Amino acid sequence: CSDDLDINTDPNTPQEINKGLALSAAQGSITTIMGGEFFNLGGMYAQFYTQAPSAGQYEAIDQYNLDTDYANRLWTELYAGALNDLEFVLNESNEQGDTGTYLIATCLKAYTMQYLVDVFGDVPYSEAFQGSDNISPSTDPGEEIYLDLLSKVDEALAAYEESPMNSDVGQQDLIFTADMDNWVQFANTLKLKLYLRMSNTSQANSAAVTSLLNEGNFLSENVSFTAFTDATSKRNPYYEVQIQELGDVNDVASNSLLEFYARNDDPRLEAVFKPNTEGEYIGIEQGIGILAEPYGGYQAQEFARPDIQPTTPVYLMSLPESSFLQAEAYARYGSSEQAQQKYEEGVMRSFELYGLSTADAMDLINADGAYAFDATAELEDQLETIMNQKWAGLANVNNIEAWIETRRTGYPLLVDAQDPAYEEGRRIYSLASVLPGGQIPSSIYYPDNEVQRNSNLTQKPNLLQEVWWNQD
Amino acid sequence: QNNTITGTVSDTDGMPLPGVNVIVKGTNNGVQTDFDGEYSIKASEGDVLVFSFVGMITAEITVQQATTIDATLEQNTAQLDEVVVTAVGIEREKASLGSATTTVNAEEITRGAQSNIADALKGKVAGVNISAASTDPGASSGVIIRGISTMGGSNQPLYVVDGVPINNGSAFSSSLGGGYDFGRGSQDINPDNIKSMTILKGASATSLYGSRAANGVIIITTKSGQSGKLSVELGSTSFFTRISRTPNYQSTYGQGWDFTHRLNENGSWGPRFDGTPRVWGNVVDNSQRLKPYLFQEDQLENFFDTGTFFQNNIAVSGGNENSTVRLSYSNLQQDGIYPTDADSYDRNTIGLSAQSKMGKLKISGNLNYVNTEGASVATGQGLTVLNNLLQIPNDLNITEFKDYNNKFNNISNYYTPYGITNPYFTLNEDGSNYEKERVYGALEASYDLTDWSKVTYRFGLDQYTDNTQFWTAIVDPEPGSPNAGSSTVQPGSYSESTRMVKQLNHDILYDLNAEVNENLGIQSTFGFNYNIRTSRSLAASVGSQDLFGFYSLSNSGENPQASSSESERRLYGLYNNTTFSFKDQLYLTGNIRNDWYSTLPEENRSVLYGGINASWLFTKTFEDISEILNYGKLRAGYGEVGVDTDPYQINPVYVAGSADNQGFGSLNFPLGGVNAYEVGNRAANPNLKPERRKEFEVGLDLEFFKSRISLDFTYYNARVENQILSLPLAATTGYTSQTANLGEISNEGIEALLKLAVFRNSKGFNWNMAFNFATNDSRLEKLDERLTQVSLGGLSTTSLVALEGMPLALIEGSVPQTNDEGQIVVDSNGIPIAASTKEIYGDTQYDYTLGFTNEFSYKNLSLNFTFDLREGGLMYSRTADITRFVGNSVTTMYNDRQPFIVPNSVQQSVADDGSITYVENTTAVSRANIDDYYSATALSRNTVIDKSFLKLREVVLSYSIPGKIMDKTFLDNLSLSIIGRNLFLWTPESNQFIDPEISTFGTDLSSQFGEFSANPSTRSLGFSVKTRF
Repeated sequence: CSDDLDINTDPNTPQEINKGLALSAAQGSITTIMGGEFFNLGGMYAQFYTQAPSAGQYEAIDQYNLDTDYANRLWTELYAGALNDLEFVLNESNEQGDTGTYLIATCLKAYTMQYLVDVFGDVPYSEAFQGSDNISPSTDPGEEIYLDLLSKVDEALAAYEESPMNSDVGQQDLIFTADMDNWVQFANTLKLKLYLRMSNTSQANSAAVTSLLNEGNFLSENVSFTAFTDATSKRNPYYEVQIQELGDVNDVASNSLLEFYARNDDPRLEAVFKPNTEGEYIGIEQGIGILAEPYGGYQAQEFARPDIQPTTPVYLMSLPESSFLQAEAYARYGSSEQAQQKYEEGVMRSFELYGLSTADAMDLINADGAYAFDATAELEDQLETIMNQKWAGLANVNNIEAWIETRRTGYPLLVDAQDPAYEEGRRIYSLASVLPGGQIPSSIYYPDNEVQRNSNLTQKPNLLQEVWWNQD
Repeated sequence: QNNTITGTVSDTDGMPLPGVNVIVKGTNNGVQTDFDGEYSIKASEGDVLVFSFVGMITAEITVQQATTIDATLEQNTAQLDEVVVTAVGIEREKASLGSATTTVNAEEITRGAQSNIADALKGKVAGVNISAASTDPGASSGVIIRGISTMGGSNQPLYVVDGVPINNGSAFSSSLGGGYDFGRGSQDINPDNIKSMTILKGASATSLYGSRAANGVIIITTKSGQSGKLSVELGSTSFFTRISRTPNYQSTYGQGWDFTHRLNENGSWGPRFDGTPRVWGNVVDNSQRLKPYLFQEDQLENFFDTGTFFQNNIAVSGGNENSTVRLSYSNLQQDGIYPTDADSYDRNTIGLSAQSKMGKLKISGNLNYVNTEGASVATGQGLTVLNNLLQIPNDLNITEFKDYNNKFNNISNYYTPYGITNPYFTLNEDGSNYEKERVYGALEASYDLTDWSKVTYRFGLDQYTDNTQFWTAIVDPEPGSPNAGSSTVQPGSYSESTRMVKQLNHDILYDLNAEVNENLGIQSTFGFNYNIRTSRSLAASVGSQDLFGFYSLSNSGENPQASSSESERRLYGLYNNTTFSFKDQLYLTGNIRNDWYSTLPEENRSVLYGGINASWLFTKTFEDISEILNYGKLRAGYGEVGVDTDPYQINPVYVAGSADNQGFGSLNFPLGGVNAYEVGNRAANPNLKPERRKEFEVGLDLEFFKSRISLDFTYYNARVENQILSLPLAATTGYTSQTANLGEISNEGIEALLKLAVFRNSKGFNWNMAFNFATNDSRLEKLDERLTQVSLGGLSTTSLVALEGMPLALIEGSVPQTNDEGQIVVDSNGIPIAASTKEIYGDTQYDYTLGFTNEFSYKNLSLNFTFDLREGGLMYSRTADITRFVGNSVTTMYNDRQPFIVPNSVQQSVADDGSITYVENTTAVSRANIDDYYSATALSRNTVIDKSFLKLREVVLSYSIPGKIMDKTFLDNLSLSIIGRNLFLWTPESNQFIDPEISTFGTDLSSQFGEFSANPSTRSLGFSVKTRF
């Protein structure tokens, strides 16, 4: 009779899985957020896109009026989806002595945690992932998370170098098919990104950056997820929601980016955006679509919109981004000439990424071109040149990264909409802002679900809270 | 040598009684007395005439030589001998019951000609709350007895048909973008086959049924064949239904937005009506339509149609003294109020029951086959018909769109591109289909061991297969047309799912019934129960369609997404029920049961519980008060029941790789030829315990002045401990939930039924009144300290929650942000900003419910009507939300839409150091921003309405053709009824929108949240004929 009742094992799910299956799932989760909700949020806050008139799904973003429940889903997908699966992969590869897979999972965890800190500020980390043993993980200071991520990546690199065991996950690594050289390069580039985010803090570490530059083993391929097909729930995440589900009616080109490209005759304009129904590239000022005038009754297809296709890859980190990181690192800690070289490489790689001719890029980065780099200029001016191009090269590639970098560096400059400089392609304070003039979000609210369930986490008072690397 | 016997039947006051049944015992030879109480029947010497009449003690008189036999019937004041079927088929005298038990007989069940047994009980049983999800054909009705007992599981009672539990699962989806409801298992029962329904409410009575009885039990006894001549019953009912309520629209401002008359807007935020001729809609082939700019009266009503309902029944029964058989068939065809048959429901039932007695062995069985087929019009947002309808500006005539292929009306040129389209297109091209084949029945063999004991084996089977199909049409406007590239464009979809659900139930019973001496009697039942429930399902869908008008999984360039699941649970139970009776006036009943569940961890698997109740018939003890109080019973009971949970809740799981994409989509593996599994989001719980319901009740049944006034009163107090719930975990734990024991719910309430015989004249005018009153206070008494609240559903902005110490359940939503002085903080447009934390708006429970029935009769004519009053409670209404958003609702007329400053409002400014200061707001909400004001998150409270109502639930006017006339026909009787349902509805001021009984969130706890664009409810008028020969 007792055996007769032992039937409570769910026949609908496997009893055991392996690290390869979980790694694929984690990569799918990270891709969905980076290429989906973060892509949309970043696209609006980096001022690539803005809310179209006659629709309103993302009004709150352009109004700088995000609800406290805005991030519920993306937070859950990253913590309980991606990161928890990565914990499984880390544990299993650790037990098996698989240093390769351990490095892969460590990189993806560090990558994901960094975005959580950069978008939300201090978040649970050291007490997280303990299931019902600790249902209220406290937050860790962002600074400590950063330092720990760096040391975890270093440890995983060291362990791999000490006993290099190639990952055996093969095709289940949908990013680099378990090619460890690529993952080591990703680890180095990720470290550079982490260090540069800390460059204005007391944790700035020129020695570590210099050492990375000297080693010079950065990305040789884009870190991208390409396994999409044009079918329900298999498409590029931004396409699936914005275009397939919501009908391509919310996001239109923001003049902040569109004008930048247009003024400089930059052909990336026609790669990043698709034209309106008349074949023209017309954008609107950030936030103006929500206002009653002057576009009342206008619809999204009367403007240029982001050109994302069902199978457009999601880039977790791109070659141009890697180049611009190196350019910034050289500008700060090395020679201006090397900075210029990496800067120009970055612009060219950006054109390549969008499928454009590098000759067009050359015209622009020539000494008399609009994007010329002045190796004799002050550091701050060099940084502005680098960051403006990085921003212009992240559009439709990694939008959330673009927003984070505008917060860190202040470039492209933020001006008033009436400022003539805006014509050159700067950022403005959203015209729909509900915040008083001169204010712009610096992080987003913790999601309500977390605040309600985690007694050790307190909601921030407003969207103006700076994350640790931006605090004075 | 038949003689014709004649006579008069009268009551003890000498008043003749019309309508008394007079039959020759053991035969089907019967007649009824006429207006004057007179009858005439053929009988032989030695035959026994049986005189029976509702409320009277049946009399039997043996025919002697005399051909005139007058009979006198006594009032059945005490109903002492009434036998009711209680737990596991055990029959007990009603007087012996120590817990509140209500029995509803066949006549009451079928009077309103309801097709659904739950609806047939509505308003007839105190403490039982019956809610219909909608009045759509075939939609489900839920029954909640004595309040919400569990937050995690089902609150529906257990249905037991002829001793065997049957499946009452539902087929519904509360999807916000295409919900449907194809009903519950209980509505497969043909009400015309029911002899009686008994509702067991308290744990002291239900504990014998085990875990599934924790929410009460509805015991159904079906009709069996009658010995004697072959008898045929026929019934036919027709109803015609109309829409009963549409949202109340403003009639001042027409199409447009921001006070501008824009011809493509899906809203009425335009300029004031002026009656001038204006063009409307898109320009097509250089032409455009013209109409006066005027409000359309009855705009929505005109869209809807008259629905029909036809039900026909036939039953044949017969047999001899040892064996009887009954065969029944019913057919129901219903078409709802949407034009077309997109909302329809057909049901066929065949029932066969037979019993035979062979000495000490008695064998009986019944087998039922039910076939249902339905179609429903999707509820919710998106391209659903209602969502299309409710956004049409109040000056457009909806019926103009009827020809949806017309060049102005087709999807390319329909007047608006904003995510909605021609409702006639969606109604005709999108759709659903539901089919169910079900077989259920029972087999019973009992053997009399001695004259005081018997053994019984009973086997029950309930099995069904259902299939659900949904499709949405491709919406692909012609390139270059006004709607090309708009959010209305859809790729079409098709999905199909099949379930097979099976339940097997075995009971072995040993009954003994002994009189120890003349004062003391014992009735006892020992039983063993084995129950297995399995289900299996297979579903597939595609998110696009290639060919228009053909709907199939294969009609797509996509590979179908397929999924399958299975589930099995088993239960063993061992039980005993014993009643001691003392001098037929004191009764004591004890129940004890031990269950073993497959769904719980091994160490918590065995659960022992039971109940005890007592009753005292004090009018038998003190017989001298019978002049005033002719019947009085005091009863009290206490019981406990263990409740298990769904299968597979305790172990950790790995699930197929999938990522949530903003709630609008997802990224599902396999991708690029690679599959994925991930760590499931539900954490394991090896310590899960069963829930335990503990309930105390006390009651009083009183009848005064020869039962002219009767009162049943019950007070109960129930607690359900160890609530099995999903503990929401912070995502930072790596999980999002764990199934755990988390709280305690209490339900305290009173049930009272007062019946008054205002006039009682057996020969003339009778007037009976009944008041059915109940209150119930459901409360979440305790909640695990790890939880601040329990989320029970709803939306992200406005939701259904439970908080410790508060009534169950509450609606929570956004409120305006205020400063320390309580002034409302507004944004730069003068519109209130939502506070960062939500607040509780109030609870969803009725404060009280009152059913009020009047029954008038004069000779063969009777009029019966029931009012249903429910007071208190809140619900969310998306109908309110959307009609406010588009400016159609009459509630969007504050200040005649002229600019106004939100009273007592301030604007905030945040300094660089983060300090906040407030200045008086001088910004008026402009005409261009008025629509934003009505859809502001801060003002979400306006989408939550008071769900109180008063309804004229049912009116039945019946006429029975007098026996004198029937004698001249081959018919035994014939009755005609006119029936009205939901004829009137009154609601409070805050509800300008809907019938507050409707819900799109099913019929259990989550339905308390309200509706998300539910289809409108109906009123109906019908005609019914019943006869027997």
